[in-house]
Amino acid sequence: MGYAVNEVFLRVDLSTGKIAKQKFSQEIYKKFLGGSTLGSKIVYDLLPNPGSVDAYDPANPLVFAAGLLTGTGAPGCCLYGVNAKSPLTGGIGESESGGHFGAELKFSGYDGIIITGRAEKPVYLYVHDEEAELRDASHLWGKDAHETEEILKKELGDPQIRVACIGQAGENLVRFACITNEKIHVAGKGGMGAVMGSKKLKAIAVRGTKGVKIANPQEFETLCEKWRIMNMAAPSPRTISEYGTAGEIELFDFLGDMPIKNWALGTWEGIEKLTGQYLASIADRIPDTCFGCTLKHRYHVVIREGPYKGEYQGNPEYELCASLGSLCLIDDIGAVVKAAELCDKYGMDGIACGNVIAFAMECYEKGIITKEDTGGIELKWGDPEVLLSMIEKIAKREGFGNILAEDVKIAAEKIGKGAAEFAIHVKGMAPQMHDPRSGVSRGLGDAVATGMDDGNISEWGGPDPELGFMKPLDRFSPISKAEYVIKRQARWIWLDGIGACNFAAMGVPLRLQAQVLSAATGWQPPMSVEDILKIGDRVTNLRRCFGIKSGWTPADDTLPKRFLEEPKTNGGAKGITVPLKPMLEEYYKLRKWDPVTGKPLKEVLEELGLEDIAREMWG
Amino acid sequence: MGLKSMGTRMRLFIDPSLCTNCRICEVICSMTKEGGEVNPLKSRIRVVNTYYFNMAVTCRFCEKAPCVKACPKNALIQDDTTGVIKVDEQKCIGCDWCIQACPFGAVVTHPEKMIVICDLCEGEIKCAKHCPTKAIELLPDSSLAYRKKREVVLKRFS
Repeated sequence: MGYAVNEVFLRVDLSTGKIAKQKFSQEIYKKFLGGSTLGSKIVYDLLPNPGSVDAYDPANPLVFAAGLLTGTGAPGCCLYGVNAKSPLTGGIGESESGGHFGAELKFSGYDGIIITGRAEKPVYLYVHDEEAELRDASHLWGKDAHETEEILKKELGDPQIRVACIGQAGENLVRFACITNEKIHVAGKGGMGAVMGSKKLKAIAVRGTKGVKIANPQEFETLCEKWRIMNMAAPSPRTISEYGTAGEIELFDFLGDMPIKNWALGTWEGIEKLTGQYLASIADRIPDTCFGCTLKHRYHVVIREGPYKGEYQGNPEYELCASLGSLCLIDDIGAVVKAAELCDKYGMDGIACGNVIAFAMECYEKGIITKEDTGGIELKWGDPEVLLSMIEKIAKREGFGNILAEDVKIAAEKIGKGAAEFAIHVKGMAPQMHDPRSGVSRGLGDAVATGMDDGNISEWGGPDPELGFMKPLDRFSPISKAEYVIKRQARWIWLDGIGACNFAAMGVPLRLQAQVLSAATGWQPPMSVEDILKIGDRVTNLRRCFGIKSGWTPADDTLPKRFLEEPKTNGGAKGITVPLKPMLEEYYKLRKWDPVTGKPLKEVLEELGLEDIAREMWG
Repeated sequence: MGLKSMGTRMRLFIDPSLCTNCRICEVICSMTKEGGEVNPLKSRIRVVNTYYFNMAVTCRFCEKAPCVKACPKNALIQDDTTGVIKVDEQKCIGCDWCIQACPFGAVVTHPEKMIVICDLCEGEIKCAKHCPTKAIELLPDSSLAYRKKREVVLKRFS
């Protein structure tokens, strides 16, 4: 066992019930880090022919992996990643979740769990220290994520086990189903819950007593203190720590960034009532933060007034205030709190869920679908009750919900009649809830993303000297954006790999994060920014090759027409469309991707130490 | 000894209205006391997490400590000045009566040792130092602030 990492994964074959251990060498961790970046590499290796294997095929591996620093107590380093071939994009699905599950996984003696095959009947996996067993889960099938956790804690007689599970949505193969851990944390994007459901794996319960060893504890302690103070000295974390990520809505609205009415409007007065600050004025909030985190942006909510008065598990993140709020023209934060809780319970990505309901609302407004299609539901903008009932119907695949459960791309194909124009997605997946017209680097990021986080890039944050950007970038101009996106993608990959939450790493130089990693693992010397950029390139190109093998072409590296051709009519990004073409051309050039096939050139793959993939792609 | 030189009995004041369940106190306690191992199950301080509040719990350094009285082997020895309770590992038989006797659940089992109890780190309190919300403070027993805050907590939970 090494420092910070266990160097062991658990391997579970659900088809045969066989459970084994798989060793990983330090070299692999240095090359691919951990979490969803190492997970991507594992999925790549285990699924050599993604073009001919459906995401729901037993051959699709599902990988849970804790970040390198997860469980060490380094600030905000709590993430575990989930990877598999995504039922939405066909590429490697990538999703992270916080809470305490990842740390507990580390304490059990494993860095992650690799799941293959499919169980005949529902099972759950119980990992307690190095012991692991598959148990019958027929009594859990049909239960939501909150009930499942409660039952398992009671059944296993240990209130401190950590549970990651699927709700009804995952069981029903809702294409954007998520994996919920500890009720309020989700691995949301990419449809990982649907893959878990297809394997008939209801839950993973983890308990560990082993702990994680730190190579240089005194240095680690001092550097972590520095990390915490630098993080809290940055403005965003302060707002987020008090009001959650929805505390930044005022800024996002000013920039014209918040998506409204299925991404059609630029600003809207209802936004005032969706902010974290407004929620704080009508509700009591009890923090329930992630392992080792300085910020307290997750809390439980007790709403004191209005139609949605009551106690709720969790608070909606910014993304859900947008997707389940402004995107559907809903201005009642109480309804959003309830809808977000429902999504967590049923186990669905609230981003995709709001996005597909907003799409249906626009189709209804335009007369593309009518009450006959929806089973009598009036899919009117801004009606919270319609939102709540549609969430339930999607999770249970009832009536019209059955079509929306396929997410916007497939739903639009099924509906036909030009509905595709209003389906906002990139390669089949809903974008993060930030409008690319408010900062066009995001448009490029979305178009070329190979996972989930690496599309989530904005340039409004001012200069970034560490990445070589000494001046703030013009947020509407395509100039320098390709280089910016490449470097920011590497930053995301680094954060996912070490298991650090973005919010807890704001204001913290990569150099310091690398020193913390070095103190924890004993790796000398600490990685440089150049090393970090190279790992970013390696992981991006690996995932890109998987996507190409799965059928991606350069034509798929695009954005919905709404972002490219429809300028916003009001708000902070009025008149703007995304100048994708020049950015994309430059990106391909800098990445050395072949413009005809979209493949990374052989020399690039070889430079990054991906010789096997180079041979596979180019012969 | 740092604690003794403070001239008055020190206690950890832990404010549940500030505690967030981040468990950094568990991390730093185990790392400090266990030679660089981060392991909540070896920490002398543990966070209780509920829907309505979170609170880190550790030794309260009671006068006439019930755990000391309960020990059938006289394995627990309380320092008169500091109130810190030391465990004599030679004498301890792991019967866990101290755990039952403690009104706070502050005496805890340890995967490799019998039991462990907070020793206030000789006054160099790591959990208080690193608590990001300052929910943990080391205060003199006699301080007015301590009593005032204690009142608030009692009001909240009674």
